[in-house]
Amino acid sequence: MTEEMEKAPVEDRPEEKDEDVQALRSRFGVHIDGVRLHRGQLSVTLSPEVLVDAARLLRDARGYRQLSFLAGVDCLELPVSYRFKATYSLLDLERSKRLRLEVPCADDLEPRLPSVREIWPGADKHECEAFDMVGIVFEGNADLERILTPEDFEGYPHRKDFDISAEPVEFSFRETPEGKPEAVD
Amino acid sequence: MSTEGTNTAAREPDILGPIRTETMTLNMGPQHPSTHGVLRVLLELEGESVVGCKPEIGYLHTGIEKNMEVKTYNKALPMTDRMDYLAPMSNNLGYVLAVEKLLDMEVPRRCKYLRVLLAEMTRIQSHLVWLGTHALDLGAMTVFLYCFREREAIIKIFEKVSGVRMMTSYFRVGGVAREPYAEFYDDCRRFLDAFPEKMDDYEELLTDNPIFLRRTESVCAISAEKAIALGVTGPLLRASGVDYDIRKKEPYSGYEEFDFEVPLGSAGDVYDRYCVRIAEMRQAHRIAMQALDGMPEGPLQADNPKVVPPPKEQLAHDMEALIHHFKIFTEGYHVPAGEVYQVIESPRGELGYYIISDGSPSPYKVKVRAPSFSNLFALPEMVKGGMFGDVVAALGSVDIVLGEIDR
Repeated sequence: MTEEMEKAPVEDRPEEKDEDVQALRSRFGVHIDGVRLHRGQLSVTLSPEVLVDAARLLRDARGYRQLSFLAGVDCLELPVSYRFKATYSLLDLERSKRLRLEVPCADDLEPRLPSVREIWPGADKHECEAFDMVGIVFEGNADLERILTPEDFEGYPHRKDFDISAEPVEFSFRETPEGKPEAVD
Repeated sequence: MSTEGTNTAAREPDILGPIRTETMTLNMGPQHPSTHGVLRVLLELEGESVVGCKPEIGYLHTGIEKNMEVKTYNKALPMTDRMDYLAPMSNNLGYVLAVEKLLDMEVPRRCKYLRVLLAEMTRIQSHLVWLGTHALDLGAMTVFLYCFREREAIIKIFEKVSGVRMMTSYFRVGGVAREPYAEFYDDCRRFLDAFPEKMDDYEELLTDNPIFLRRTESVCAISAEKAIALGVTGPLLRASGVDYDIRKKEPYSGYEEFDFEVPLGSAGDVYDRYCVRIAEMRQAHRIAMQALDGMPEGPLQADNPKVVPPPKEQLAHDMEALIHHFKIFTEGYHVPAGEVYQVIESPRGELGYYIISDGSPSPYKVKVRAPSFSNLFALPEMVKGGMFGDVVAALGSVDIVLGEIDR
């Protein structure tokens, strides 16, 4: 975003003229924390309290019938005030239009978000993946489980503070008998 | 096509009645040839009918996305081949387009055409593997041998153009790795000229084959609404009658200049998926021919010395080129901060790269939206209520690659 665009009044920015953004703004007002247009792609940041309602509005009234993916992001090294967020990428097949929802988690230590699998059933496994990799708990998803790593895996690999320097190697070999085996004739 | 037989349990009266017993849980995989990789499917069976199905993934998880975060943008590229190893060029294409979008960079028209040509050849070879293995799963051995013969011809071209058979890493940010070899266009033309006849051969073996029809028609269908809700994309979605092809709807890499049709199914069963993919191969052939015939003249690499390495001849006498070369291969190039989600139509569906850049030479976060991931989890919807023997047909028709599901 150029500096000139940032200085423009809010209502004159091109991203604010978008119909879906206006629909979200008029319904959820203060819960919309920001709208961004970067490289022609629209993303809306909104608070987790209104996520489920916004998702329902976008699916039923705005035509976003498909959730392309859902990703958990650890923003530890990014210049933002929160630690975790989830990105939801939506697709409207009729208008061939995509919209990204970015939802920051309120708690940095125990990130939680409401589940949207009632709205898009396909979100189910993506939520499992975000839980497995980043550790965001999706409340309301009863089948939340580790999906890529083993069940007893500790830690969340896609967190920025996950230790990738070394991993203990698990050896499983037979115990070797003492001394040299005797030669057999 | 009738929907008869899709839901055996619901259609037939409860003949088991009082002798109904407990259900049985059956483990399919992870070491099973028809799971096409290391996939475990937990099946709950009642006699021969499937009452529950749960795919278990993660056996091939290698942390590719995490690995990309500690590499420069160029060094992260070879990791993309390893995800969908049957369509390496498509994966390269999605990644380089995403990075080019972050850089706000255009590549020359000739580069776009070359990428389209190779991406469509990739589609053909990926569909050939699907056709061969799918037919093999259903008991047709000959098709498998034919398909792999043709695939080998494409792989040979890939090897000559990129140096590697499967893990090509040929597309680079701002262009391609190198100028194609002298006879490249002739080799492509020779293959493409002969290909439609080969397609007729496969179709002769399968399309009207009564045994194949019995195994596929009205089997494991999925409705358009359910497919959309579950995030299903690609040939699977189009077999259910939804006209959504990213090449048409959100054109990238110059696809808007090509003339092709989007094949659609109606019933969304295994047979429709077969028909859609077969028709797609013919369309891919058509696009590849157009790319070959209309290949423009001009430069192949983008004019951006900060990103595209200079030609090797220049290094000996041009100080500037030497500095750029050194910078690109040590530090890498800085990519402006921002987030993009770039989608392409891979042979399996919507392949997307969600990349977050923090302005450094390595991606801050990469999330790959693998088409097989969402498609696989539509499997329970397809097989529930059907017969156990159809699970193999359904799984084959989904065309999964575990490498991109687990990443």
